[in-house]
Parts: sequence; C-alpha cells; structure tokens
Amino acid sequence: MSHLNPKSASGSWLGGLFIIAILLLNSSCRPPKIIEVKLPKHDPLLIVESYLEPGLPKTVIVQQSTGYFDAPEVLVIQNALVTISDGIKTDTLTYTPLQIGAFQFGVYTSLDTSTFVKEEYGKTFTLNVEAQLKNGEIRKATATTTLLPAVPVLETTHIFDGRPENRAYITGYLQDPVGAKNYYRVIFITPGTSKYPLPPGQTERDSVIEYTLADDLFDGQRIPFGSPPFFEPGEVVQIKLVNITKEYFDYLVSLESAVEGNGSPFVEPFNVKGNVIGSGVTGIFTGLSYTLYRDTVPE
Amino acid sequence: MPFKHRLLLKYLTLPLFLLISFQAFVQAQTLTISGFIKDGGTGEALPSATISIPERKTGTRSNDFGFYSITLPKATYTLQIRYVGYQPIDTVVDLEKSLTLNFKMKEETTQLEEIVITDDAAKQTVQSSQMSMISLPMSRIKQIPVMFGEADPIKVIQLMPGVRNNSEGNAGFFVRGGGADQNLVLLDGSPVYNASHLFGFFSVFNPDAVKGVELYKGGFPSRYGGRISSVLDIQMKDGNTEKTSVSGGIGLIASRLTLEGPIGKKQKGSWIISGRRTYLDAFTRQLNRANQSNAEWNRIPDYYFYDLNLKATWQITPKDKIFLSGYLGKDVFGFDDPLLNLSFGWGNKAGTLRWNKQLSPKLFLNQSLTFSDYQYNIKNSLELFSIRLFSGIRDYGYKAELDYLPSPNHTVKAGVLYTYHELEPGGFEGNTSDGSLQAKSATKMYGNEWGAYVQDDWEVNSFLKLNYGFRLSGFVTPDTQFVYPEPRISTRLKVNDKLSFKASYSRMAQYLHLVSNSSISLPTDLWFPATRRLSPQLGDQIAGGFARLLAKNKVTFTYEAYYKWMQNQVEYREGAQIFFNPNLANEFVSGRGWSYGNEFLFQKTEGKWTGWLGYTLSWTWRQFPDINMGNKFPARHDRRHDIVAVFTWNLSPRALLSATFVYATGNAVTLPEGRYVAFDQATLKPVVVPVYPSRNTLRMPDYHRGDIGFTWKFDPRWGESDLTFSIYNIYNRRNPYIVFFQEIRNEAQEIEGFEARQVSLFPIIPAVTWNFKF
Repeated sequence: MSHLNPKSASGSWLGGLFIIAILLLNSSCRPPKIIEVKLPKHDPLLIVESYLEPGLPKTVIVQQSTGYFDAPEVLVIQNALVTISDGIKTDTLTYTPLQIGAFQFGVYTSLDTSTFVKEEYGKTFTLNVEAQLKNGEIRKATATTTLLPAVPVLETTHIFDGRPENRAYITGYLQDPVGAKNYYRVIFITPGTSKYPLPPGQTERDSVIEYTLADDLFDGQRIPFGSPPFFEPGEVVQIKLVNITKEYFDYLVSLESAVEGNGSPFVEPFNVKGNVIGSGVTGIFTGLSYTLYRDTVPE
Repeated sequence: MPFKHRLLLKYLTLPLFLLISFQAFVQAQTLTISGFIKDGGTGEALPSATISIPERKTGTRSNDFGFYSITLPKATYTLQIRYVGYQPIDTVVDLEKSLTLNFKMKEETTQLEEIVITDDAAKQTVQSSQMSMISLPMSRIKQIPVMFGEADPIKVIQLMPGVRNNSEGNAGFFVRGGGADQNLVLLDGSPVYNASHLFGFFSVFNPDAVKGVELYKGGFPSRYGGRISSVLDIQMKDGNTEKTSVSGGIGLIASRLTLEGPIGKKQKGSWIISGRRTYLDAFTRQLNRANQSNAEWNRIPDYYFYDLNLKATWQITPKDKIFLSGYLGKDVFGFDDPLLNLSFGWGNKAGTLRWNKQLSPKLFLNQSLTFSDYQYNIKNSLELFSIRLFSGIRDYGYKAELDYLPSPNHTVKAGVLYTYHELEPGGFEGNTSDGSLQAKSATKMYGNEWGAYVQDDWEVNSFLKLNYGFRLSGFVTPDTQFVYPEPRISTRLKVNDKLSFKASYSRMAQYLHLVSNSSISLPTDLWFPATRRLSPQLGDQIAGGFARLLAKNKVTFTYEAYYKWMQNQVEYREGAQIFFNPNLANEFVSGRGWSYGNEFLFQKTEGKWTGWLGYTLSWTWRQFPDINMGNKFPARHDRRHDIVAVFTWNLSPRALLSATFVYATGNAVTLPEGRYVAFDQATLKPVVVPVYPSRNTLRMPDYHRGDIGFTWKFDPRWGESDLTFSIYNIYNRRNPYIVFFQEIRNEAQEIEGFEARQVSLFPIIPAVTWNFKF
C-alpha cells in the first residue's frame, strides 16, 4: 500500500462503481454518439519537454499546440534557439526530426559525447528556449531541474489470482531514504514475451502499467509497490523504478488529470502544470534516473 | 469579526419588548381562540392550514405542529379553515370567552378526485409576506411522473423555477446558483447531510413516510440558518391516531411497506414505521450463483439501499406532546472475490426527540434534541494490502423555539439552538497483511455552532405586511471562533386582493463546507468545518417580485427577480490530492460566487386539471484567485434558460393522467480547445494531451424530456389500491450526460483525426408501481 496518485485512486474507485450503478439502472445503455462541437479559436502554446537521462544525449522536444480538431500531426518548430546549462558550461542544441510511432517530433540535441548527461547527481541544470510559432509570435521558455540518483528495487514477490489463466500480481519493494520528501514512478514493462493480445495502438515495447508514489506517509520505510494480476507464469517483466522530482510528480499528476478530465464527470479538468516557465508556454524539464529491474514470474 | 454585545442584545430584545407592551395594552379587550388542526382520518397535524375570519378580514395559519391561535375582540365570528386537499370547514363562533377549538379536517373523498384548493389558498400567495417559498404536500408529489415510478420529493422540487439538478436523474439540487452543500435539508428538524442514494439517482426520502415538503429559496425566516442558499424542510408523518393501517407499494426498483396506528385506547399517541429497500442485489446474487462454475463469468457486485423511518408521538396532557422520530438509511456496494474484497457503504442516521408545550393560548413552545450522522466507508482488500477510506460528520443538537401570537397582526417566533459537530474528513488507513507497513491518517475536527433569533410577521395594515427578524449565529472551534449577525426582512405591499408586490433581503451564514471535485454529487464529497484558514460561507440575497391572481383566482402568477452574493466559497485547488492526503486542508482554495435571475411561475390549483408552468432565466458565476488564472467562470450548474411544465388531469374519480416537460440550456462544461502530443520518455509513449480553455466556457447540447404518468384506482373491499404507470423520457431523447473528445484510428491503429462524442444515460423507461392501503 503506497501513496498512490490521487487521480488513479479516485478514477478507478468511483468511476468503476458509477458504471456499475448505471448498468444496474439502465440495461439498455446506449453507445456514445458522434456530435458536432464548435470550439473557440485556439491560441497556440509553446510546448517544451526535456528529460536528462544519464549516459544519453541531452534532448529537448519543441512544438506548438494546435486546435483539437486540426490534423493529427505534431506541429514541430525548427527555428528555435535551445540551450542547456549546468551553471558552468552551456550547450546549444540543434534541430533533428525524430519519428516515434506515427508521430514526427522535432528534437533539439547534440551528438557530441562530451555534452551527454553525466551522473552528476545534485547538480542543477537550466534550460532556455526561444522559438517562433507558426503565427509569427515569439515565445521564450525557461526551466531548471536537478538530477536525482536512482533507487534500487530490493526484491519482488508474486501472488497468483487462482483463475484458469493464473495471472500474477507482482509486488516490489524499495527502501525510502529517511528525511527528504521523495517521489517515485513505477513502470511495469513486458518486453516482447507477452502472449496477451495487446490493446489497440500499443506495441510490445509499451508499458503495461505505470503510476506515481510519494513517501508522505512512509518516510524512511521499506515501501511496497504492486501491479494488478496481469502477468503470466514464466513471463519476464521489467520494472522501471524512477526517482523523480516534486515538479515531475506534479506534472505527471496534472497530465493524468488533463487526459482523464476529457469528459469524465469525476475529475475537474485543468491544464498540465509543468516547471517550464514563460508566457504562453508549458512543459517539463526533469532528470530521469531509474533502476531497471528484470523480474521473472515463477512457473 | 467585531461585535458589540450590548447593541446586539438591544436589537434582539427590542421587538419582543414592543410586542409584550402591545400585548399588555390589548389584553383587557380581546379573547383568544386556539387549538390544533388535524387530519380527521389519521390524526396527522396539518401545518400551514389557514384560519380566516371574514368579518375582520384577518386570519392566521397553523404552525408546523398544527397549532393555531388568534386573538380577537368579543363578538360572533365565522371561522373558515382551509387546507390543500381537504374539505373546507366553516363554523360560527360566539366569542364570549377564550376558547380551545380543535378541528379535524376530512380529506377529499379520493386522492384521484379533483383536488380542491379554494381561492383562500391561492389568495394566501398574495396575502403572505413570505416569498420564494414552495410548499408541496406528498399527495401532490405522488402525482408527478418520475424515473422508475419512484415518487421523490426532491425530483419534484427540481421542477420548480430557481431549482435545478446537476445532471440527468440526479437528486442533488442547486437553488438560485447556490452549491449542493448550501441547502439545509431537514427531516423532522434534524439535518440530513447526504440526501442521495445510488450516486444521486434517488433521494433518501421514502414517499410513504413523508407528509410534505417546504422549500425556501430566499426571504429566509430567521428561524432557519446554517446554510446560505435554501432550506428544504421535510416533515415526516406522525402516524395514524385513529386506526391501525398498512400501506405500501411494489415498484420496478424498490418496494415499500408502512405500518402505523394509535397508541393507547384513548388514541393519545401514534406510531409509524416505514421501510423501503431495493432488490436488484437479489437478482445479481442469483446470477452470480448460477455462474459459479463458469470461469469466464465476471461477478456482478451486489448493490442495495434501504431506508427506515420510525416515529412515535404521545399526548401527555392536552397541552403537552412528545415526538420521537428516527431515520436510518444506507447504500451498500459489495464485491467479494477470493483475492479482492471491496465494500463501499454510505448512509445517514437522524433522530429527533421533541416536546411541544402549549404554555398559554398564545404561547407555544417547541424543544428538540436532534442527532444526525453521515458516514462513508470504502474498504478494499487484496491478498497483500488492505486500504480503507472513510469520512463522516456527526451532530448533536438542542433547539428551543417559541411561537407567540399576541394578535392577528403579529406572529412572533423566537428561539435558541446549539449544535455540536464532530467531523472526520478524508480519513484513510492502509496496511500489509504481514504488518510490515502500516499507515493511518484520521483527523477529528470539532465545532460548536450556536444561534439565537427573533422574528415577527407583522400585518401593519391591509397594504403593508412585514416579516422582519434578526438571527445571531456563531461557530467555535478549538482554535478560532466566528460570530455573524444575520438580518432578515420580507415585505408585502398588497394593492388589492389579486395583486401584491414583495421584496426581501436575507443574510445567511454557513459554518460547514462540502468540498467536491466532480460534476456529480458523490458520497465521497467531504464535509469540512470552518477553520482559521477556511472562513465560513456567507450569503446575501435580495429578491423582489409580485404575485397576481388570474382567471377568477384559479391561476396564480408569480414573478421574482433575485441577486445573490456568496462569500468564502471553497473548491479543491487545481491538481489537488484528494485521497490519501493527511494534509487535506492545504488542498482547498477560497473564492466568491454570485448569481442573479428571473423566475416566472404560473400555477393552476383549481379545476379538473391542475399544474404549473415555470421559466427561469439565470446566471451563476464563481471566481477564485487560484483557479482559472483568477478569471471568473460560470458554475457547473449555471443554466441560462429553464422551462418546466407539469400538468395533471383528473379524468374520472378513478383515473388520473399526468405529464411533465422539461427544457434547459445545456450544462456548462470544460472541454479541450487544443491539444499536443507529449513524448513520455520514461515509457517511450506518445500521449495526446488536451489544452483546456477557461473553465466551463462551453455548453453541452440543450436538455429536454417529456414524461407521462397514469394512475388507475381500484376499489377493493379490503381497502385502497392503485396501479401507477409511468413513462420517463417518452420520446426517447438522447440527452447529453457526458461529452468527450476521442481519437479516430485506422486499421493500423494510427490516429487519423479527432471527434466529439456524447454519452446519454436514460432512454425511454416505462415503469409500473402497485400501491395499496388497508
């Protein structure tokens, strides 16, 4: 039992029960129908995302938001001035297109290995972006972050649900340091061995489940974190345990709210809150230090 | 808040002093007729019955317990007693000395016959200084068709101008732009904190146990306090003092059974016990059992709710009567699986012990001890973990109220009250089965709420009538205290017997907040007390309008305009952590609200067909420094246009046809206006992220719906019986409940575009209910 992301908690509990209530009352529930909604003109935002992953190049994705019913492509920005500084040295990053799934993103990076992210935990980095939107407006964005050390997964245990497919819950444990407030992100990944039919749009590389934890109530304790009963006997699962900053934790919570708030009566919708500052800008700049724990579900 | 005790004491005592002096002046010349007005068939007290003296063009009304008192000079008078749905009584009284006259009124011979409301009742609308008030007897409520045929006082109240629900089928209600928590819901004087079953699709009020309801939307009498937007006063039946009887009904969703009867041979008391329970769980259990060996079967959770109302009365002496009433209701969801055990329950308990004492023909004392409790509890056990979320509020209260009727021109009420609140908002605990990890957060909070009031309904002359009063209330917690004066005044300017103009101002203070993050009323919404950081809610309302009788006094037309200011409104901050949060108070933000509107209501209360036509044009706003970038936004329940038509036709003494039509502007919603694709580097997944505009700036499609009902009364030898057929949403309108945007994907699961979709809840729903009484 851990301090779960509140939206996950409220969404799953109440949403599930509410659906049951509707089903009980209304056996002839009708499928959603397509309607036309006229939206106000969208004033685009500059979107900046950057993750500093030790051992990898510094990367910054720069784009602008678009009207909801516009064409689905990413509106990349190619003419931005993007720098990351560690207080001593400033790296200027250059544009390169990057295809991820069906989307082509615009990424600013440097392949010079001397600029790669080093395991300099505790060090503060500053990001600056100046970009011109499609409508000619200039937007400036800035953000700072600190690189945190990874936290190990101590061990895992498994419980099978006893149903015919005999799927397993996985429970992992981490040791929370005493004192400072800590935040974690847990991601269970099935890298290519699953026999399940995958949900639409997902590949085998996709995460199966992910959520965030905070140590508000468990400071310094051995904290368990679990999965639903998804995993088959013998299956190999990778558990990615990311030690995250408060800003990234808040960003993830708000991201989930923003996505869930689209039509849910259980969540008041609001926009993503990141740590990228500027007028008409939003986004996240954070370190990404993690432990990748390989777990094999017993037969 | 600065507060001058002496000045307030002066304000409080001055009206009483003046009235007592006045009483001393007239005492030598006048005599008093007093007594109780009751239902002749059941012995139920009839509140708000009118007693008119045509010779002096004056009159009075019975109080909540059927007591009336009128003081007149020595002479011969005609007393005209009137009450909705009852045969009128006219009697001549030779007033030589003070008299006690009790009246037992006979109900119209059958419920299905034309309900006669003499024009006295219609004239009362013009005559009274009270405005913004709706009074509905249960017999009227039961005639209106509602979803699943379950008669529901709150669903009928929602059909009145200025009152609206927040979504289809929901029993939560919003009055003149106020929030769902700003309604003081009283059941026999005890507050009910969550008046909903099953996520609000049913209210907790069993129609068989309720005598009638009164809703105050504004112009609040000083005797009410503690909420800033409305008072819904629900009176339970006292029980039959004449004979033992059984009544009940079998419906689509639930069944009801009520037993009542006299206590003692001399009919000095009465008792009633009334229960209601849903039975969907009986079917779902059978289904689960039948599929026990089916590996593919997904268990259906058990769900049921029940209500139990109990009441007993006892006339100790002709002038003393005690009442004991109680309510117990609960919703239970249960899911029992070898590895996952989930239960979710919530419910109210309420109780009142009341002592009525007639101190003199002009003085009536009502003292009550009240208890109210609302709790929710969610338990979830996996094999390794167990989690419990819980929250609740519990009240213990005392109230003493005095009715003083010195002359036909004055009705004075004064009282004191105290309530001890005990709250436990947002508690949780979790632990592992091996005990390696344990966490618990449960903060108990306390508050002492008190109040004192005096009010006088003063008929200055045939033109001017004033209802003025003053309430002083306060709230004391371990770390702070608040005191607020709450002045109230209503006035009526009667042009003639068919037209009067009315205006009112009232201030209300509310020391409890209900904090919600959803657009529907949920049992998990939290009650939280005012604290040093979270000031009490304050509401100021002005209203003005007129009442006009039309069509030979058969139609009443009322128009009211209002403006309401609401201070210290509370919401969760954006991104609040609602569950598992030991510092929940940090998640609240305060702001303000205001609303204004116009309400038009035509009511026909006499003839073969009766009903009403209402229209509301209104605006409701909120503004919080920490929400929506500090900009004002429409409240979720902001509704520009709202039209309601309700009609009932008495086709014959056996048959009644009823119909309702509702049209309303679509709900204010927040939908994305833009989007972008975020790349989540930790999961290597692209995520479509919505960008929202200012809060609640978009509108769902308009809402409209028609319902019809038909009641056929049988005449069995053993008693009374009827079958009620109803059709909800008769033209099967797909009304919007949720609107959301989603991706359009091709066969390769690539996103090709985006579209808007609408979820609708209830299609056409026929229902039949069988009711009986013997």
